[in-house]
Amino acid sequence: MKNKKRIKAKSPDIKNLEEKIENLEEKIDRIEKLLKGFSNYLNPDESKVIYLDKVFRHPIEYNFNFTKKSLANLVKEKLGSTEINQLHELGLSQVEIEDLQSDLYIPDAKTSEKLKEMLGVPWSDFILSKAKTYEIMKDSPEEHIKPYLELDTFTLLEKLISEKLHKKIICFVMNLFVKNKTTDLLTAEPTDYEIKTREEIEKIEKIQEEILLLEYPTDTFAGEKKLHFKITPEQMLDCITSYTSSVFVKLQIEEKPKFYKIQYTEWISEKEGKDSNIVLRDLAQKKVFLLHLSEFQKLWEKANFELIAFYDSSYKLKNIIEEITYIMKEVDMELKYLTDQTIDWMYEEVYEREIYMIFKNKWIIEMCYPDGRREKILSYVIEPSGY
Amino acid sequence: MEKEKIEKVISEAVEEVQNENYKIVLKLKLEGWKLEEIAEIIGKTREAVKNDYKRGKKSLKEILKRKGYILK
Repeated sequence: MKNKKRIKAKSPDIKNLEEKIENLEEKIDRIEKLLKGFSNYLNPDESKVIYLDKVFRHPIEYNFNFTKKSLANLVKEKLGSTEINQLHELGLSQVEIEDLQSDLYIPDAKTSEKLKEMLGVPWSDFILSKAKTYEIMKDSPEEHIKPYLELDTFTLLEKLISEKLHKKIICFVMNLFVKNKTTDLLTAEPTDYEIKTREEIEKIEKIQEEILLLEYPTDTFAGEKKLHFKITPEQMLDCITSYTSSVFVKLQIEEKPKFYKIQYTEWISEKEGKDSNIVLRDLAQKKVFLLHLSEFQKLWEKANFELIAFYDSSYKLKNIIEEITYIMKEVDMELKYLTDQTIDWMYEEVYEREIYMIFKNKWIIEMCYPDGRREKILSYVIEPSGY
Repeated sequence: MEKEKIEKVISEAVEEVQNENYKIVLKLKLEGWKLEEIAEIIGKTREAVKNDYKRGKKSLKEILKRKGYILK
Protein backbone atom coordinates (compact mmCIF):
# COMPACT_ATOMS: atom_id res chain seq x y z
CA MET A 1 0.00 0.00 0.00
CA LYS A 2 2.75 2.37 0.99
CA ASN A 3 4.54 1.81 -2.32
CA LYS A 4 1.40 2.37 -4.31
CA LYS A 5 0.78 5.67 -2.54
CA ARG A 6 4.33 6.79 -3.19
CA ILE A 7 4.07 6.03 -6.92
CA LYS A 8 0.72 7.78 -7.07
CA ALA A 9 2.21 10.79 -5.35
CA LYS A 10 5.09 10.96 -7.84
CA SER A 11 3.05 10.39 -11.03
CA PRO A 12 2.35 14.11 -11.87
CA ASP A 13 6.10 14.82 -11.87
CA ILE A 14 6.77 11.86 -14.12
CA LYS A 15 4.02 13.03 -16.47
CA ASN A 16 5.56 16.49 -16.60
CA LEU A 17 8.94 15.03 -17.29
CA GLU A 18 7.58 12.82 -20.03
CA GLU A 19 5.88 15.81 -21.65
CA LYS A 20 9.09 17.79 -21.48
CA ILE A 21 11.02 14.93 -23.02
CA GLU A 22 8.45 14.66 -25.81
CA ASN A 23 8.71 18.40 -26.47
CA LEU A 24 12.44 18.21 -26.55
CA GLU A 25 12.32 15.28 -28.94
CA GLU A 26 10.02 17.23 -31.27
CA LYS A 27 12.38 20.18 -31.14
CA ILE A 28 15.32 17.93 -31.90
CA ASP A 29 13.42 16.46 -34.85
CA ARG A 30 12.71 19.92 -36.21
CA ILE A 31 16.29 21.00 -35.73
CA GLU A 32 17.47 17.85 -37.47
CA LYS A 33 15.13 18.48 -40.38
CA LEU A 34 16.31 22.07 -40.63
CA LEU A 35 19.91 20.96 -40.49
CA LYS A 36 19.22 18.36 -43.17
CA GLY A 37 17.50 20.95 -45.36
CA PHE A 38 20.36 23.36 -44.80
CA SER A 39 22.89 20.67 -45.55
CA ASN A 40 20.92 19.67 -48.69
CA TYR A 41 20.98 23.25 -49.80
CA LEU A 42 24.71 23.55 -49.19
CA ASN A 43 25.53 20.13 -50.62
CA PRO A 44 22.50 19.38 -52.78
CA ASP A 45 21.71 16.15 -54.50
CA GLU A 46 22.38 17.39 -58.06
CA SER A 47 19.61 15.22 -59.45
CA LYS A 48 17.13 17.41 -57.60
CA VAL A 49 18.50 20.83 -58.49
CA ILE A 50 16.83 23.00 -61.11
CA TYR A 51 18.21 26.36 -62.11
CA LEU A 52 14.78 27.68 -63.01
CA ASP A 53 15.77 31.23 -63.89
CA LYS A 54 18.40 29.90 -66.26
CA VAL A 55 15.76 27.69 -67.91
CA PHE A 56 13.50 30.69 -68.43
CA ARG A 57 16.39 32.77 -69.75
CA HIS A 58 17.42 30.19 -72.36
CA PRO A 59 14.34 28.00 -72.89
CA ILE A 60 15.27 27.09 -76.47
CA GLU A 61 18.15 24.94 -75.16
CA TYR A 62 15.66 22.65 -73.44
CA ASN A 63 13.39 21.97 -76.44
CA PHE A 64 10.08 22.58 -74.75
CA ASN A 65 7.24 21.73 -77.05
CA PHE A 66 3.71 22.31 -75.91
CA THR A 67 2.36 23.38 -79.27
CA LYS A 68 1.16 20.54 -81.41
CA LYS A 69 -1.06 21.81 -84.21
CA SER A 70 -1.19 25.00 -86.19
CA LEU A 71 -4.47 26.81 -86.84
CA ALA A 72 -4.62 25.40 -90.36
CA ASN A 73 -4.24 21.87 -88.99
CA LEU A 74 -6.85 22.53 -86.35
CA VAL A 75 -9.31 23.85 -88.95
CA LYS A 76 -8.60 20.87 -91.19
CA GLU A 77 -9.12 18.43 -88.34
CA LYS A 78 -12.18 19.98 -86.73
CA LEU A 79 -14.18 21.42 -89.61
CA GLY A 80 -15.86 19.61 -92.48
CA SER A 81 -16.35 21.24 -95.88
CA THR A 82 -19.75 22.66 -94.90
CA GLU A 83 -18.39 24.17 -91.73
CA ILE A 84 -15.45 25.67 -93.59
CA ASN A 85 -17.95 27.55 -95.72
CA GLN A 86 -19.43 28.91 -92.50
CA LEU A 87 -16.16 30.66 -91.76
CA HIS A 88 -17.61 33.56 -93.76
CA GLU A 89 -20.03 34.06 -90.91
CA LEU A 90 -17.11 35.00 -88.69
CA GLY A 91 -16.57 37.99 -90.95
CA LEU A 92 -13.64 36.47 -92.82
CA SER A 93 -13.19 37.16 -96.52
CA GLN A 94 -12.53 34.35 -99.01
CA VAL A 95 -8.85 35.30 -99.16
CA GLU A 96 -8.60 35.31 -95.36
CA ILE A 97 -10.23 31.87 -95.20
CA GLU A 98 -7.79 30.50 -97.78
CA ASP A 99 -4.90 32.07 -95.89
CA LEU A 100 -6.20 30.64 -92.62
CA GLN A 101 -6.18 27.19 -94.19
CA SER A 102 -2.56 27.72 -95.26
CA ASP A 103 -1.27 29.19 -92.00
CA LEU A 104 -0.89 32.61 -93.55
CA TYR A 105 -3.47 34.40 -91.44
CA ILE A 106 -3.88 35.16 -87.75
CA PRO A 107 -7.40 36.15 -86.69
CA ASP A 108 -7.82 39.13 -84.37
CA ALA A 109 -8.97 38.71 -80.75
CA LYS A 110 -12.69 38.97 -81.55
CA THR A 111 -12.57 36.54 -84.47
CA SER A 112 -10.33 34.22 -82.45
CA GLU A 113 -13.02 33.91 -79.81
CA LYS A 114 -15.66 32.99 -82.41
CA LEU A 115 -13.33 30.66 -84.26
CA LYS A 116 -12.44 28.89 -81.03
CA GLU A 117 -16.16 28.32 -80.42
CA MET A 118 -16.61 26.98 -83.93
CA LEU A 119 -13.67 24.62 -83.58
CA GLY A 120 -14.87 23.48 -80.17
CA VAL A 121 -11.42 23.40 -78.60
CA PRO A 122 -10.25 24.67 -75.19
CA TRP A 123 -8.91 28.21 -75.10
CA SER A 124 -5.39 27.05 -74.19
CA ASP A 125 -5.24 24.66 -77.17
CA PHE A 126 -6.46 27.42 -79.47
CA ILE A 127 -3.84 29.87 -78.21
CA LEU A 128 -1.05 27.32 -78.60
CA SER A 129 -2.20 26.60 -82.17
CA LYS A 130 -2.25 30.32 -82.83
CA ALA A 131 1.35 30.48 -81.59
CA LYS A 132 2.30 27.64 -83.93
CA THR A 133 0.82 29.55 -86.85
CA TYR A 134 2.76 32.66 -85.76
CA GLU A 135 5.89 30.55 -85.84
CA ILE A 136 5.13 29.31 -89.35
CA MET A 137 4.27 32.80 -90.52
CA LYS A 138 7.55 34.16 -89.19
CA ASP A 139 9.25 32.34 -92.04
CA SER A 140 6.64 32.94 -94.68
CA PRO A 141 7.17 35.38 -97.56
CA GLU A 142 4.16 37.34 -96.32
CA GLU A 143 5.84 38.10 -93.05
CA HIS A 144 9.07 39.11 -94.69
CA ILE A 145 7.46 41.45 -97.17
CA LYS A 146 5.48 43.27 -94.47
CA PRO A 147 7.87 46.25 -94.31
CA TYR A 148 7.71 46.52 -98.08
CA LEU A 149 3.95 46.80 -98.04
CA GLU A 150 4.42 50.25 -96.61
CA LEU A 151 6.38 51.35 -99.66
CA ASP A 152 4.83 52.95 -102.65
CA THR A 153 4.60 50.58 -105.64
CA PHE A 154 7.27 52.16 -107.71
CA THR A 155 9.55 53.09 -104.84
CA LEU A 156 9.69 49.39 -104.23
CA LEU A 157 10.25 48.58 -107.86
CA GLU A 158 12.98 51.17 -108.18
CA LYS A 159 14.55 49.89 -105.00
CA LEU A 160 14.77 46.44 -106.54
CA ILE A 161 16.24 47.80 -109.72
CA SER A 162 18.78 50.00 -107.95
CA GLU A 163 20.11 46.86 -106.29
CA LYS A 164 20.24 45.18 -109.66
CA LEU A 165 20.81 41.51 -109.38
CA HIS A 166 22.93 39.60 -111.80
CA LYS A 167 21.71 36.42 -113.40
CA LYS A 168 18.82 35.75 -111.15
CA ILE A 169 15.21 34.81 -111.53
CA ILE A 170 13.15 37.22 -109.53
CA CYS A 171 9.68 36.27 -108.55
CA PHE A 172 7.90 39.54 -108.62
CA VAL A 173 4.89 39.47 -106.33
CA MET A 174 2.06 41.56 -107.59
CA ASN A 175 -0.09 41.54 -104.49
CA LEU A 176 2.36 44.03 -103.08
CA PHE A 177 0.75 46.39 -105.52
CA VAL A 178 -2.81 45.34 -105.08
CA LYS A 179 -2.90 46.89 -101.65
CA ASN A 180 -1.79 50.25 -102.95
CA LYS A 181 -4.15 50.03 -105.88
CA THR A 182 -7.03 49.26 -103.57
CA THR A 183 -6.23 52.29 -101.46
CA ASP A 184 -6.15 54.43 -104.56
CA LEU A 185 -9.43 53.01 -105.69
CA LEU A 186 -11.08 53.87 -102.43
CA THR A 187 -9.74 57.38 -102.13
CA ALA A 188 -9.79 58.59 -105.73
CA GLU A 189 -12.32 59.01 -108.49
CA PRO A 190 -12.62 55.99 -110.80
CA THR A 191 -11.19 58.04 -113.70
CA ASP A 192 -8.12 58.93 -111.70
CA TYR A 193 -7.74 55.33 -110.78
CA GLU A 194 -7.84 54.25 -114.42
CA ILE A 195 -5.28 56.83 -115.42
CA LYS A 196 -3.02 55.87 -112.57
CA THR A 197 -3.35 52.20 -113.38
CA ARG A 198 -2.43 52.79 -116.99
CA GLU A 199 0.57 54.77 -115.82
CA GLU A 200 1.53 51.96 -113.57
CA ILE A 201 1.26 49.47 -116.37
CA GLU A 202 3.35 51.66 -118.63
CA LYS A 203 5.96 51.99 -115.95
CA ILE A 204 6.02 48.27 -115.40
CA GLU A 205 6.40 47.69 -119.12
CA LYS A 206 9.19 50.21 -119.25
CA ILE A 207 11.18 48.78 -116.44
CA GLN A 208 10.36 45.11 -116.58
CA GLU A 209 13.42 44.48 -118.69
CA GLU A 210 15.50 45.79 -115.84
CA ILE A 211 14.23 43.43 -113.25
CA LEU A 212 16.25 40.30 -113.09
CA LEU A 213 15.45 37.54 -110.84
CA LEU A 214 16.83 33.92 -109.98
CA GLU A 215 19.55 31.88 -111.56
CA TYR A 216 19.51 28.26 -112.49
CA PRO A 217 22.88 27.12 -111.23
CA THR A 218 24.49 23.74 -111.81
CA ASP A 219 26.69 23.95 -108.76
CA THR A 220 26.84 26.26 -105.83
CA PHE A 221 28.21 26.46 -102.35
CA ALA A 222 26.40 26.64 -99.05
CA GLY A 223 29.10 27.50 -96.56
CA GLU A 224 31.86 24.97 -97.16
CA LYS A 225 29.66 22.46 -98.91
CA LYS A 226 29.50 22.16 -102.65
CA LEU A 227 25.99 21.47 -103.78
CA HIS A 228 24.92 19.97 -107.07
CA PHE A 229 21.69 21.13 -108.56
CA LYS A 230 20.12 18.29 -110.45
CA ILE A 231 16.89 20.00 -111.30
CA THR A 232 16.67 20.62 -115.03
CA PRO A 233 15.94 24.01 -116.60
CA GLU A 234 12.65 22.65 -117.91
CA GLN A 235 11.57 21.56 -114.47
CA MET A 236 12.53 24.91 -113.06
CA LEU A 237 10.70 26.72 -115.81
CA ASP A 238 7.71 24.47 -115.32
CA CYS A 239 7.44 25.54 -111.71
CA ILE A 240 7.91 29.17 -112.46
CA THR A 241 5.40 29.24 -115.29
CA SER A 242 2.78 27.02 -113.70
CA TYR A 243 1.44 29.81 -111.49
CA THR A 244 1.66 32.70 -113.90
CA SER A 245 1.68 33.42 -117.58
CA SER A 246 3.83 36.50 -116.96
CA VAL A 247 7.32 35.10 -117.25
CA PHE A 248 9.96 36.86 -119.28
CA VAL A 249 13.27 35.33 -120.28
CA LYS A 250 16.28 37.15 -121.68
CA LEU A 251 17.75 35.29 -124.65
CA GLN A 252 19.63 36.06 -127.79
CA ILE A 253 17.59 34.91 -130.76
CA GLU A 254 18.21 37.89 -132.99
CA GLU A 255 21.04 40.45 -132.96
CA LYS A 256 20.93 41.42 -129.30
CA PRO A 257 19.73 39.61 -126.19
CA LYS A 258 16.19 40.60 -125.39
CA PHE A 259 13.44 39.81 -122.99
CA TYR A 260 10.77 37.55 -124.42
CA LYS A 261 7.53 36.59 -122.84
CA ILE A 262 7.71 32.86 -122.44
CA GLN A 263 5.09 30.19 -122.67
CA TYR A 264 5.03 26.41 -122.96
CA THR A 265 3.04 24.75 -125.64
CA GLU A 266 2.48 21.28 -126.99
CA TRP A 267 2.11 20.51 -130.67
CA ILE A 268 1.47 17.33 -132.45
CA SER A 269 3.64 16.75 -135.48
CA GLU A 270 2.80 14.00 -137.93
CA LYS A 271 6.36 12.74 -137.93
CA GLU A 272 7.43 13.12 -134.33
CA GLY A 273 4.10 12.93 -132.51
CA LYS A 274 3.38 15.01 -129.41
CA ASP A 275 6.18 17.32 -128.41
CA SER A 276 6.85 20.19 -126.04
CA ASN A 277 7.80 23.55 -127.36
CA ILE A 278 8.42 27.02 -126.18
CA VAL A 279 6.69 30.10 -127.49
CA LEU A 280 8.67 33.29 -127.13
CA ARG A 281 6.96 36.59 -127.73
CA ASP A 282 8.76 39.81 -128.42
CA LEU A 283 6.10 42.15 -127.12
CA ALA A 284 7.71 45.33 -128.41
CA GLN A 285 8.14 44.06 -131.99
CA LYS A 286 5.08 41.84 -131.87
CA LYS A 287 7.06 38.85 -133.05
CA VAL A 288 6.51 35.27 -132.01
CA PHE A 289 9.15 32.51 -131.99
CA LEU A 290 8.31 28.88 -131.63
CA LEU A 291 11.23 26.82 -130.38
CA HIS A 292 11.70 23.18 -129.75
CA LEU A 293 12.45 22.57 -126.08
CA SER A 294 15.97 21.27 -126.79
CA GLU A 295 16.72 24.37 -128.86
CA PHE A 296 15.46 26.57 -126.10
CA GLN A 297 17.67 24.78 -123.62
CA LYS A 298 20.73 25.34 -125.81
CA LEU A 299 19.95 29.04 -126.02
CA TRP A 300 19.31 29.22 -122.35
CA GLU A 301 22.59 27.57 -121.45
CA LYS A 302 24.44 29.92 -123.77
CA ALA A 303 22.79 33.08 -122.57
CA ASN A 304 22.94 34.89 -119.31
CA PHE A 305 19.54 33.48 -118.69
CA GLU A 306 17.55 36.08 -116.88
CA LEU A 307 14.00 35.56 -115.91
CA ILE A 308 11.29 37.78 -114.62
CA ALA A 309 8.19 36.18 -113.24
CA PHE A 310 5.23 38.20 -112.10
CA TYR A 311 2.93 36.63 -109.58
CA ASP A 312 -0.29 38.06 -108.34
CA SER A 313 0.23 36.81 -104.81
CA SER A 314 3.00 35.66 -102.56
CA TYR A 315 0.89 32.60 -101.85
CA LYS A 316 1.75 31.41 -105.34
CA LEU A 317 5.39 32.07 -104.66
CA LYS A 318 5.07 29.75 -101.70
CA ASN A 319 3.58 27.08 -103.99
CA ILE A 320 6.56 27.39 -106.28
CA ILE A 321 8.97 26.93 -103.44
CA GLU A 322 7.09 23.82 -102.41
CA GLU A 323 7.05 22.49 -105.94
CA ILE A 324 10.75 23.04 -106.49
CA THR A 325 11.49 21.40 -103.16
CA TYR A 326 9.31 18.47 -104.17
CA ILE A 327 11.05 18.00 -107.51
CA MET A 328 14.40 18.13 -105.81
CA LYS A 329 13.36 15.45 -103.38
CA GLU A 330 12.27 13.23 -106.28
CA VAL A 331 15.56 13.79 -108.06
CA ASP A 332 17.36 12.99 -104.86
CA MET A 333 15.61 9.68 -104.48
CA GLU A 334 16.38 8.74 -108.05
CA LEU A 335 20.03 9.60 -107.55
CA LYS A 336 20.17 7.68 -104.33
CA TYR A 337 18.77 4.66 -106.09
CA LEU A 338 21.23 4.88 -108.97
CA THR A 339 24.43 5.77 -107.21
CA ASP A 340 23.72 5.15 -103.56
CA GLN A 341 25.58 8.30 -102.77
CA THR A 342 24.88 10.42 -99.76
CA ILE A 343 22.52 13.16 -100.68
CA ASP A 344 22.90 16.56 -99.25
CA TRP A 345 19.44 17.83 -98.48
CA MET A 346 20.76 21.26 -97.75
CA TYR A 347 20.31 22.47 -101.26
CA GLU A 348 16.58 22.66 -100.73
CA GLU A 349 17.23 25.43 -98.25
CA VAL A 350 19.62 27.10 -100.63
CA TYR A 351 16.93 27.20 -103.27
CA GLU A 352 14.42 28.58 -100.87
CA ARG A 353 16.86 31.30 -99.97
CA GLU A 354 17.38 32.04 -103.63
CA ILE A 355 13.69 32.54 -104.11
CA TYR A 356 13.14 34.52 -100.97
CA MET A 357 16.01 36.72 -101.83
CA ILE A 358 14.35 39.83 -103.11
CA PHE A 359 12.69 40.71 -99.87
CA LYS A 360 15.56 40.66 -97.51
CA ASN A 361 18.82 42.20 -96.58
CA LYS A 362 21.82 41.91 -98.80
CA TRP A 363 23.54 38.60 -98.67
CA ILE A 364 26.37 37.08 -100.59
CA ILE A 365 25.94 33.83 -102.42
CA GLU A 366 28.99 32.24 -103.94
CA MET A 367 28.23 30.51 -107.17
CA CYS A 368 30.51 27.88 -108.67
CA TYR A 369 30.28 27.21 -112.39
CA PRO A 370 31.20 24.01 -114.24
CA ASP A 371 34.27 25.69 -115.78
CA GLY A 372 35.65 26.33 -112.32
CA ARG A 373 34.70 29.99 -112.27
CA ARG A 374 33.38 31.35 -109.02
CA GLU A 375 31.30 34.39 -108.53
CA LYS A 376 30.00 36.22 -105.52
CA ILE A 377 26.56 37.56 -106.02
CA LEU A 378 25.02 40.24 -103.93
CA SER A 379 21.39 39.60 -103.38
CA TYR A 380 18.46 40.29 -101.18
CA VAL A 381 17.96 37.27 -99.04
CA ILE A 382 15.43 36.38 -96.48
CA GLU A 383 17.24 34.34 -93.96
CA PRO A 384 14.68 32.22 -92.20
CA SER A 385 15.59 31.41 -88.63
CA GLY A 386 17.82 28.43 -88.20
CA TYR A 387 19.74 28.95 -91.44
CA MET B 1 20.33 17.50 -63.96
CA GLU B 2 20.25 16.67 -67.65
CA LYS B 3 18.43 19.06 -69.97
CA GLU B 4 16.01 16.38 -71.17
CA LYS B 5 15.02 15.57 -67.60
CA ILE B 6 14.63 19.26 -66.73
CA GLU B 7 12.37 19.67 -69.76
CA LYS B 8 10.26 16.70 -68.65
CA VAL B 9 10.04 17.76 -64.99
CA ILE B 10 9.14 21.36 -65.80
CA SER B 11 6.66 20.39 -68.54
CA GLU B 12 4.84 18.12 -66.09
CA ALA B 13 4.89 20.78 -63.38
CA VAL B 14 3.51 23.41 -65.79
CA GLU B 15 0.53 21.15 -66.48
CA GLU B 16 -0.21 21.24 -62.74
CA VAL B 17 -0.48 25.04 -62.64
CA GLN B 18 -4.14 25.65 -61.87
CA ASN B 19 -4.68 29.03 -63.49
CA GLU B 20 -5.16 28.60 -67.26
CA ASN B 21 -3.85 32.08 -68.07
CA TYR B 22 -0.64 31.53 -66.13
CA LYS B 23 -0.26 28.12 -67.71
CA ILE B 24 -0.51 29.46 -71.30
CA VAL B 25 1.96 32.26 -70.63
CA LEU B 26 4.42 29.83 -69.00
CA LYS B 27 4.15 27.42 -71.92
CA LEU B 28 4.71 30.11 -74.51
CA LYS B 29 7.57 31.60 -72.52
CA LEU B 30 9.21 28.17 -72.28
CA GLU B 31 8.83 27.78 -76.04
CA GLY B 32 10.94 30.89 -76.40
CA TRP B 33 8.34 33.55 -77.17
CA LYS B 34 8.94 37.10 -75.98
CA LEU B 35 6.43 38.82 -73.72
CA GLU B 36 5.46 41.24 -76.51
CA GLU B 37 4.77 38.35 -78.87
CA ILE B 38 2.79 36.47 -76.23
CA ALA B 39 0.72 39.59 -75.65
CA GLU B 40 -0.02 39.75 -79.38
CA ILE B 41 -0.92 36.07 -79.61
CA ILE B 42 -3.17 36.10 -76.57
CA GLY B 43 -4.63 39.53 -77.22
CA LYS B 44 -3.64 41.13 -73.90
CA THR B 45 -1.36 43.99 -72.96
CA ARG B 46 2.30 43.34 -72.30
CA GLU B 47 1.83 44.38 -68.68
CA ALA B 48 -1.00 41.90 -68.15
CA VAL B 49 1.11 39.14 -69.67
CA LYS B 50 4.06 40.12 -67.49
CA ASN B 51 1.89 39.81 -64.38
CA ASP B 52 0.59 36.41 -65.46
CA TYR B 53 4.15 35.33 -66.11
CA LYS B 54 5.37 36.42 -62.64
CA ARG B 55 2.48 34.75 -60.87
CA GLY B 56 2.72 31.66 -63.05
CA LYS B 57 6.39 31.32 -62.28
CA LYS B 58 5.64 31.59 -58.56
CA SER B 59 3.05 28.79 -58.82
CA LEU B 60 5.50 26.70 -60.81
CA LYS B 61 8.19 27.17 -58.16
CA GLU B 62 5.80 26.03 -55.43
CA ILE B 63 4.84 22.94 -57.41
CA LEU B 64 8.46 22.03 -58.06
CA LYS B 65 9.41 22.56 -54.41
CA ARG B 66 6.49 20.39 -53.34
CA LYS B 67 7.87 17.70 -55.58
CA GLY B 68 11.16 17.92 -53.74
CA TYR B 69 13.20 19.87 -56.26
CA ILE B 70 15.68 22.46 -55.14
CA LEU B 71 15.39 25.68 -57.10
CA LYS B 72 18.35 27.91 -57.55
